[in-house]
Amino acid sequence: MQDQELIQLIRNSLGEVAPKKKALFETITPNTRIDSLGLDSIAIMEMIGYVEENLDLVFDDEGLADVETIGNLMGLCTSGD
Amino acid sequence: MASFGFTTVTQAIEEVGLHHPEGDFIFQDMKGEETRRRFADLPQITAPRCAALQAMGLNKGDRVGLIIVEPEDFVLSFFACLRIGVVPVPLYPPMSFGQLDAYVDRTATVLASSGAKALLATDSLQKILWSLVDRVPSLERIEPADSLGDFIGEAVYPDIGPDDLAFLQYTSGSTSDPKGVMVPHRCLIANAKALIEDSLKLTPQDRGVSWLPLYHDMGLIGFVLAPICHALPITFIPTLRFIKRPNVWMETIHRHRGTVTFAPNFAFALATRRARQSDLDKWDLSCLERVGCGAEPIQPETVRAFTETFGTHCGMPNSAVVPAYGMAESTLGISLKPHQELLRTRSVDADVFSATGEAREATDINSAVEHVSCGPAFPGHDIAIFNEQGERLAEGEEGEICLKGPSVTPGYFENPEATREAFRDGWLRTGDLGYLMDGEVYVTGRMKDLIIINGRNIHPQAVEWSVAEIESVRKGNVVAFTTPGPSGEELVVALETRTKEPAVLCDEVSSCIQRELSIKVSEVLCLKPGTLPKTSSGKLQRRKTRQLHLDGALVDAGARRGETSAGKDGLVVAKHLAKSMWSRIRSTTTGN
Repeated sequence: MQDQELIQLIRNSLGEVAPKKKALFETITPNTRIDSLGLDSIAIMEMIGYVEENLDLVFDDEGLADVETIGNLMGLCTSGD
Repeated sequence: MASFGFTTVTQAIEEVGLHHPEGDFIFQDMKGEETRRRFADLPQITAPRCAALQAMGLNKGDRVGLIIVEPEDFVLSFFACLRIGVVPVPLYPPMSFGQLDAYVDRTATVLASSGAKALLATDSLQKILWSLVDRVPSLERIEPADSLGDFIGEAVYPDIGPDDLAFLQYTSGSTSDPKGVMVPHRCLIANAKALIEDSLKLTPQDRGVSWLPLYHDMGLIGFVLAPICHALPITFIPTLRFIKRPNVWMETIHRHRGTVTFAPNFAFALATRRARQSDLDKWDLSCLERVGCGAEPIQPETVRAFTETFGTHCGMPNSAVVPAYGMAESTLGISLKPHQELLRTRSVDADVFSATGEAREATDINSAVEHVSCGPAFPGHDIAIFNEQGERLAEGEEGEICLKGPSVTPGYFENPEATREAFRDGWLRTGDLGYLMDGEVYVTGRMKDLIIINGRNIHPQAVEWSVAEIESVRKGNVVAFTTPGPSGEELVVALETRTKEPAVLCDEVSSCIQRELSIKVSEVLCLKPGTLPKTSSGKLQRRKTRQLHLDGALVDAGARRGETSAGKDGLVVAKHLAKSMWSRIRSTTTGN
């Protein structure tokens, strides 16, 4: 999957959990920190659940532990390819 | 009804398979693969663990800490402890890497208080926990839990009686004074019977489905210990799997024909919001007759939306949602809405209620507050309401909820002072506020959090929920409390936000509270995320917040935390991953 598709998938997943913030999510880049998005813990994990579901994979806990930015998350999505 | 006359949980573990060999616990993993453990096989598969524990030098009455992430490992290790009379002390796994020091401190305090000789922990946690051996005087060893099942050896099984201690439940008392609720077998047997048989009317033909964490009383007693005493089959979903994919909850219930499940209020909202039409069309939830709701204040709107969604589309009975009230000191449960009755709420005159504590029927819908009934006390148990002077109050009058009955703990482990404070004239003081009406209990708040302004009693939740509706306030991160002012108590609201315009937000908060509750706010504190103090289980700490504010430390703390969160401790998703599992679960109270 291309980076552009991947970031769009993350945008869509964010939009699913917090539809009110769609405009903010349009501005995300690989450098965006996930904790700058103003989501609570449950919403973040939900978003990750969406991404997993769409890619049909399950991230391992150790991998998730190192994720701080959108780019890190994209890296995790492609690391299993 | 399945009453096998077990007098201890140990006996249940060993004999339930004689009555219902094909009953089972099914453990799902993160990918959804399922492992089935038959009741008939429990004695055999727990035996190596029993022998391993004894080989470590653990004997009847010794305490052992359990920090085990995998549900199957947790359950089998816990059962092994009970079979040889070793007293497990369940502890939650670390929440995040950033707060590791605080986690290890807290864990050390609890282990020391329990006098644990050993700690069983998941392999991957060993490197975090090793320092505990030096810090806890009683602690001799930390053992990996994963390999216990492979031990070769024979165990010796001592006699276990109803008065023997089954395990210790640590509540989120302060770090300096942790309180371990003693849970003897007889309390578990009594509470299990009241819960499974008397109230929920469950039989071995039913099936429970649970994603609740197992170190928490609702998950551990409600879905492991009580079920094993009544041969109730259970399917376990890993907590994190539910948080990531809330739909697995109802999907599993549909597939396994689940008839009972429990969750805190937030999960009802999550499940409702995430259910897709394609799933709703597919799921048949007509089997799901009981969905217990406890551990957090119950919001009637959330429960109604849940019932509407899964009732209309999936055939879930409209009486399914069961408001539940309980706490660790009463083993687990105190009262539940009776099976098959509809949810009962009362619309109460908010002004009269906050002025006098009298829960009078509202005449004006605009100044009404809705209270949810948690049903009558369990059979054989008594609930009474007392005022601060220790006088018993009449129906409809708010005071402290007090409890008597066979589920009530004999006290806190090696803490006679805390035990004395917890009881008055033989009644357990729950510390919860509420009232009785037609014999049913309505829980309205926690005593120590009550805000009293100009003689008016205001529940902090009322303020916090109103403020939480404001867009730029971080959800669930609002605390309301009072401080002494020149003309009496004054209301302070502390909240977390990322807004660039705190002044605008302060005005919004003030006018919101003025509009909704007609109270003047004296101060609004806009804090950086992560500033508000939370308990080990993630509950906001109102009293600590208040103290920090009085000490002038609240804003400073925010600045410090802000710097580190952008720096080396910024394992953002790790924090969320852990927090999301643990932060929403209240660890002491299973009701409002």
